[in-house]
Amino acid sequence: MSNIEFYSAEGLRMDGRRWNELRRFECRTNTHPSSSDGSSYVEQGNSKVICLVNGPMEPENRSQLSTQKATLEVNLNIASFSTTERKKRLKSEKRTQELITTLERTFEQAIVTKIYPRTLISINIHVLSQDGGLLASCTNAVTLALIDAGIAMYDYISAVSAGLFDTTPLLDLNALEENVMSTLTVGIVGKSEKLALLLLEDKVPLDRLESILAISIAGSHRIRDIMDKEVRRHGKVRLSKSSS
Amino acid sequence: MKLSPAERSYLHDSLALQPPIRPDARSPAQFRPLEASISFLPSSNGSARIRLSDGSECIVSVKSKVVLTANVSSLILVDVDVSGYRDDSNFVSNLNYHLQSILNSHFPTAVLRLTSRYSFKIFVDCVVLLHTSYPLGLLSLTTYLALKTTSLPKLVSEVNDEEVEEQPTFSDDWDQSTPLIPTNSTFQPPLLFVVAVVGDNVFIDPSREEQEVSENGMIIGYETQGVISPFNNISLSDREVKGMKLLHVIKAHLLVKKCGEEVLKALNSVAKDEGGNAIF
Amino acid sequence: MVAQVERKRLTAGLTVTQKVFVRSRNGGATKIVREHYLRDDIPCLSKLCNLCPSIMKPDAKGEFQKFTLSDTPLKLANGGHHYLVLDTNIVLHAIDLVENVHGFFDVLVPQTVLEEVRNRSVPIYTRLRALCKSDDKRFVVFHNEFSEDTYVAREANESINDRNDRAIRRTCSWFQKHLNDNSPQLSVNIIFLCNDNDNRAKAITEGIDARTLAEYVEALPNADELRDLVPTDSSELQRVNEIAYPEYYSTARLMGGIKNGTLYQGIVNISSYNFLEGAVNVPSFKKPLLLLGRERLNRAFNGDSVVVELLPKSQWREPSSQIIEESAVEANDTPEDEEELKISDQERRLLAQDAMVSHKTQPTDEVASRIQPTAKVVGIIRRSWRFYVGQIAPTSVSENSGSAPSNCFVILMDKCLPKIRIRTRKAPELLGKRIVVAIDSWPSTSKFPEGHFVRSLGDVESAEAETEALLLEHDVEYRPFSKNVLDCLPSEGHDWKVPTDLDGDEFIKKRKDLRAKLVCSIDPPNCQDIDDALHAQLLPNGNYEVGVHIADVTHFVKAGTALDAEGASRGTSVYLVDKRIDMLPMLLGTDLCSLNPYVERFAFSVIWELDSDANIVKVDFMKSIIKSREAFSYEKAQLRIDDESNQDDLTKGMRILLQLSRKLKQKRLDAGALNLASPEVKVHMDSETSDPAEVEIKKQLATNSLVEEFMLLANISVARKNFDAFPQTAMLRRHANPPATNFENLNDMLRVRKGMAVSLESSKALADSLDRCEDPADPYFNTLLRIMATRCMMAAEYFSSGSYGYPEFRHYGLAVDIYTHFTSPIRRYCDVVAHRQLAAAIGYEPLDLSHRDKGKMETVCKNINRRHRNAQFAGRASIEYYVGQVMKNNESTQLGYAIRVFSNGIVVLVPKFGIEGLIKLESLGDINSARFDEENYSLTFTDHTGAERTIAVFDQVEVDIKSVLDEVTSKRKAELFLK
Repeated sequence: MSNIEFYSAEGLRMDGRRWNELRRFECRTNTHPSSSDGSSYVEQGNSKVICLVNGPMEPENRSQLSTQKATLEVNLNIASFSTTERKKRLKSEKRTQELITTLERTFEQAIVTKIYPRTLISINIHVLSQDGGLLASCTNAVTLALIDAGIAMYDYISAVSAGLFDTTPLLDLNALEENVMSTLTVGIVGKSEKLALLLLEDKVPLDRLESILAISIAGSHRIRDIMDKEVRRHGKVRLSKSSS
Repeated sequence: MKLSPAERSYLHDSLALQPPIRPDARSPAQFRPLEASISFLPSSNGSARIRLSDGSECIVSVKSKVVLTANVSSLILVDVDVSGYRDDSNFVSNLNYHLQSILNSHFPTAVLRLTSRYSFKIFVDCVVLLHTSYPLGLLSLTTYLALKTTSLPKLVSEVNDEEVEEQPTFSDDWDQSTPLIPTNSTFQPPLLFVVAVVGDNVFIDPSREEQEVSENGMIIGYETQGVISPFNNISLSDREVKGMKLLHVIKAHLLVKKCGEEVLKALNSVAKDEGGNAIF
Repeated sequence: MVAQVERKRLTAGLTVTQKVFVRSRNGGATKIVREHYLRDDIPCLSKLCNLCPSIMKPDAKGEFQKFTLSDTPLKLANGGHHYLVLDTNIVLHAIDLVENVHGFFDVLVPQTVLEEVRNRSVPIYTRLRALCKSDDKRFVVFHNEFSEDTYVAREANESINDRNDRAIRRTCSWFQKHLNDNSPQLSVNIIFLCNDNDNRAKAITEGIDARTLAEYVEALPNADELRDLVPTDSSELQRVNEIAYPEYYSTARLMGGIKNGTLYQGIVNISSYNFLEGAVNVPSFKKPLLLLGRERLNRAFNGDSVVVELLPKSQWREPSSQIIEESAVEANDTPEDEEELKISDQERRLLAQDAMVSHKTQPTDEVASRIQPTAKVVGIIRRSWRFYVGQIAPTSVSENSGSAPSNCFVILMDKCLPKIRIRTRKAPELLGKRIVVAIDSWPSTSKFPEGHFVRSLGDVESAEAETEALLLEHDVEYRPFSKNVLDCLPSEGHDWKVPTDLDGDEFIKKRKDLRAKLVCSIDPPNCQDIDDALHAQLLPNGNYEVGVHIADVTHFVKAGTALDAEGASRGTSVYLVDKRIDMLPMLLGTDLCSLNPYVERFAFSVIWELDSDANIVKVDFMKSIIKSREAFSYEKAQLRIDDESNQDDLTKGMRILLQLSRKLKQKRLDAGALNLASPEVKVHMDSETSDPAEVEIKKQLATNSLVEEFMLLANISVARKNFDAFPQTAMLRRHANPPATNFENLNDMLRVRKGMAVSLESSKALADSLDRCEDPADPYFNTLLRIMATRCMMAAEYFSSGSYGYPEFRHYGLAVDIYTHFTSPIRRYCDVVAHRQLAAAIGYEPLDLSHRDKGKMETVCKNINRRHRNAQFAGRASIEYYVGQVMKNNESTQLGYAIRVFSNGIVVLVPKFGIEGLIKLESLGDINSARFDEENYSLTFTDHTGAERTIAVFDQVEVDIKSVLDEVTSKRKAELFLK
């Protein structure tokens, strides 16, 4: 829609943020203590994602096993009411499959799988509402849920999306912005600048790629800090409960 | 869940006692403790979530759409998604069927009518994140809450468009939206209760162990006036179903009538609560 | 109950809240939830402020916003130093006044106003944003919706408009306080301009200095200049009982009707002969629906996008066979006074079916076949209003109006449009001048649209005023290129040369050096912008190498620059008789890009290997460097070729070109290319007085054809290559088959009067049947027929290849399956895009993303099609004007042909000058004696000498051509009189 100024001449986006500002990021861990080994709930802007992790556990069919390392299984359930217009999704939809594969590949590298051979780690993601940055929110939710489940990971994987509007890079796109510009989703390992996840949708001129990567890395670090704060806070609460 | 023969026999015997002893010390008419929250999905017209103490959880969202009344067969569509089950499996289809049919028969679709040509169609989407026992009861309670707290956009254009067609236009102020079920209305959405039969006893809201040892089960509908159809029986365990006596049916009927009132009161008080709309 | 939407504080300066609303579109209702962030670092942008420079944040490039609001703003006697805040409606209705260079400086535009303007009118929004960029006007946008201090949440039962008004008032109050607190050195007031009485009253109670637009203008020191430009406030108008046009239907009803097929949407075309008759083309119907009479037209303008409703069958009529002009119509003469019947949607559908049937069948009853469905306008979707040129009707100005503002009428140059009523004090001094007016509104109680004066162009008939009027009327941008645009040109200017080191630059390395080729150019005499040059030579294998070299404009005009934007907007160069409005600055057009002889130039070349029958053996495209050996005029080239004594290689090459071009032409004609004639005239200007001296028809020489054929071949080859590389977004040109209905009338006239017909089965069939239509008694008849056939053709248009399927790419007139314009990038923007796409296709440089985006390409095509049409009309209007001037001193008697016959007049075409004119019955003879024979397309009347005469279509007549100044429109035309 040309009716919206996505990035006005005064430097403000359609929702009032500047080019390098994250949306409201809130997260909780251990939201489903009785139904899973590890759980989390992430809200990035208006995107809401619940993640439930079970494992390491005995898988249902032996054929799934790997004798060297743990097997990861990701189930992504995007609710039909998650978008503004209700849309019934099939589990076999290509986009869903692509996201699942991306998440599996990312976390296979992030989890210390070799210390859980012959087991299955099952990750169930429920997307209740999406407003842009779906892959990023899911990645963050999975990271937190895995930590809550006590599954060993090398480091946090924090993710954020970014895009290019004309020549200006914009951080953390919402759904309307994603519709009109190319989106880059980036998953960063801890405080470093190593990429665990990199997905580009649509085209971006090569010379602009670096500027988008730069803000996404900075954004991911900020998200990692917020997630870490929550994990530590929750840890303190658990500790105080168990000690008393 | 596998119960050993000893456990099985122990449970069965304690449930068949007069008076029965339930493993979690509930009375036969008592529900498991649950926590509920409402209106946490801003993009839906109504939303509700109920979680039981054993982790079973269900989220229901209600969304509306304007349709030409002539083009659709029904104005309410229920869709159930149970985590871990295929959408076309018998289990899910059955749940869907029960919820859909009770709403089809016991919902005043007149409130959904906008003009002579157009109406609202509402989509009730249920997601069961986890279930231990047969989730129909849980689904029904959550659906009730969601419908109670749903609002529909307010129509501002002509209602009578028989002769001359106008496109319906709505007020852009969400605060002017009207509740689907007005507060002063006598109508309440219907509920479905799951009842387990062990020996001569009937129990409401059976837990997983109770279901395992039950001899039979029933699905009973309830509305403000009293018990309504459906009044089906259902097998809640893997074992073979034993026959039912008239005694069971009568007892179940009375049980549901008693519980129903209290459940309605409890749910209505949750629905009225304005409170913060955080999901957790 | 009102749900409280909470705000969450994220950091010290950032809070977030939610905006929840219902979007009601196309009959649906969707609940929309959007995040809304509030911040504390939005600067006020006043040079006087001490606080804001420290709270600002930089943008992505690290730049800060410029503080624009002046530190010495205008001081009013009753207002002091002040900044202005404009209400939305003031911007929408008085944008011309706001843009005026002599007033309205230091203006604060709240984001609320900006967004409301954008939702109501995108063009006005664009102009407002342009004002913000202008250094002189000092307009700033303040994002009050995102600022914590000025954000207002909607209250219970408050309408959106009230809430927005409150937001604007809050912004005014806050800004005032902010300035008072933070700019101690000068006390500046905020003046809020608002024409809405309620809003103004509330503002005053809140302590804001609020005034109406008129009050403010009066207080300005240059009030006299600006007073007249204040638009009429429609709320002040009381034109009760003047007329009562039917009210338009509500939007909900219009949308509902269009959706279920009972109402139709289309663009109105007002007949140039009868301003009370319009037609709307609707896809569901084969023929356009007629709109007859003032009431049915219901205030629709030529070019408006309207919604119409079919009338009951009893009110269907024939299209008017009369000529009616606005000026002649004085009294209220609504044709019918029939009662408005109330019908339901069901009945409307049945009516539509009847209408479609009536379009298709050929009933035996001749009269009935003429009756066509009629309709009435029930809603206007989009107005085509723009600036209009006209002059004040002398009869509407009273002598002693003095200096009080009075109403008067402005008659527009465009005959399809009604009179405009304006209020001005300067009416007496504006008599006899061409003026520009803008339209404000057309209330249903007002017989004429209401408008306001914008500016004066000068005396009627003066060349400057006429030229400017012409350009304005045809929406041609003629102002000089702005500084931003000129800054994009190479700094060396006229001293630019092809660099000597060809390996220096990575792109120049890729060019091929063709300076050894014997290139020459052939153009009209005195041509300074040479787009194209050719060369040819014999190859060792007996085939020929032919090269077409086109000026490499895209080397200088890069995508995304201001220069490119200006070129894209202008779309084409416009050729008037005495003037050329350039698409690109002259430095490029006549010097750096122009393939001038004896100098090295960059070019984009197409090199073919052709066999002796002119079949393409292979084709190559390359960026090159050439050196043209000679620049010939058509005549000189012809002479050089014809002179046998010339045996140099260059002339030999030209002869090869001529011979091959003949073969190419023959092949095209065999394939069915059309050879239509249009009367193109050239006006010779007297070199001393620059007055028009003579008019003549352009002649065709063999060398014209030579260049033309190779240009066509180049265009076709490039089209194929570009489509191959960019199947979704290649810039192409198509010419649709003419629909049979267009030719119905012509074929019927041919059949009745001459016993001939043209076939439409294919372009070849048309070409052949046109060839056969010869009249042994009159050799010119065939040309006349071709001219009339041209008018039945569809217009060719530019399009992006993703918009149509391959079969639709066809160019009917040229009988080729794919075509584009590549050979004139200096004067056409389509060619610039084609150059860029070709450069990417051959791997020379990457293609800019905007030329790969389907949506953007479609926008570009729409614009260049419009500009191309306007340029053609402007060119013709210019010729018409000058022909009129020539005739002033050269009245003569000429041969003419009747090409249309009405019941009250005929239209005659004069081949010698290529002009056509309407001769009304009054000037032919006794109006009462006229008998119009529709079937035979003839008019019989008694002329002024008492003799009875019959004139029919295709008849030869003798006419006197006189130059006449129309009293009412002050347009000078060549008028024809039957001898």
